[in-house]
Amino acid sequence: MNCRRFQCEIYEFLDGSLSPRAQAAAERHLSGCAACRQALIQEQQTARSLSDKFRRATDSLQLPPGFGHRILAALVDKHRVPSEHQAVALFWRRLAWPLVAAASGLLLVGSFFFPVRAPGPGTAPSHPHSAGGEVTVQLSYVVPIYTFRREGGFVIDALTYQTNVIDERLPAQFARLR
Amino acid sequence: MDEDQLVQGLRSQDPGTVQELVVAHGDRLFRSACLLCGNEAEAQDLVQETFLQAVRSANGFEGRSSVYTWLHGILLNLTRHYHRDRKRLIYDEELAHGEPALPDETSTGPDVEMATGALAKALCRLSGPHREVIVLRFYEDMKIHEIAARLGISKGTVKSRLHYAIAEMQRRLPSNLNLFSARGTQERAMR
Repeated sequence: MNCRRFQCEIYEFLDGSLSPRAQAAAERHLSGCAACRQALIQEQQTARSLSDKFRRATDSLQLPPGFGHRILAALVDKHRVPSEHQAVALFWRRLAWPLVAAASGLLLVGSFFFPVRAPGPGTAPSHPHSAGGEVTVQLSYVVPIYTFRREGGFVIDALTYQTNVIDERLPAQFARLR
Repeated sequence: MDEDQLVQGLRSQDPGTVQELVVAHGDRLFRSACLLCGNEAEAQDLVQETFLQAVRSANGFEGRSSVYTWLHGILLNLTRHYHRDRKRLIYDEELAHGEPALPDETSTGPDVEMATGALAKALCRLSGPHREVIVLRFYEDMKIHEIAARLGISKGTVKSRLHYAIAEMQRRLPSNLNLFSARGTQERAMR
């Protein structure tokens, strides 16, 4: 073992967590190397000094009286049934994503069937309904329905979804979709 | 009450057990939290959240470590979130003022009650990861491989963080309080 290797493993040496073989090699190296012995002493002093200072710095610190009750109160608080106001807020928060998803879905379907096109220069506005022939399509969309009712001191909310299907006739220009 | 009974009581959310756990480990956790975050009020909040999380996750405790080690692991995770949030706040402040915010010793520094203020201040100036290894090594008396396992990093990383953190604390401490004055001289001499 050389100095570099010993100094690299100095913490493990102090911990006593080197393998027996590495420990023996380190001790052999130490017996003949004054610089590494000095480094080891320095490391031990640093550890002792820091441990001692940290303990002295924190020994006087204590949790305030009644801290256990504070935790128990917080536990009870986390299990408490939400008030009516909180329940409504909770409901809207829960409803937000389904609403966004439903709106996005409708927009997507809408943009597919009714694309927005900018009229080209010199062209007449298109009149899809004036073209001959029509196709019948079924359009389905999801509507989230939120209900809540009071039972005694509690407000119980429920979120359900209703799928609506409508039949629609579209101009012939969409016939290629069949 | 032994540790098994404590955990059983915790699983059933028995108030007496929670109280007993606070008495047994609360102060030690609190001191560690003070060193980790540098602020007594926030350390109290961290310890409170540690116990709440312990109650919630008691079913997942398999008894492979002592209860204190388990609780301290929870505290360490919470402290990491605390450091992340604090970093975000500092970043926002920089944006607001258009220039880097200097550390404010009065608001984010260690509590004035701490006996060796200079040491605590030097500790507070370290980054979260460097502070963690210092506290785990020199306050919790953990071995290198234990720290590596606890933090999920390699032993080499633990050692390099320790080396940097000690050198940084040495640099920041006033010379009359410098606990390891020979170290730097010796390192320079060896080069």
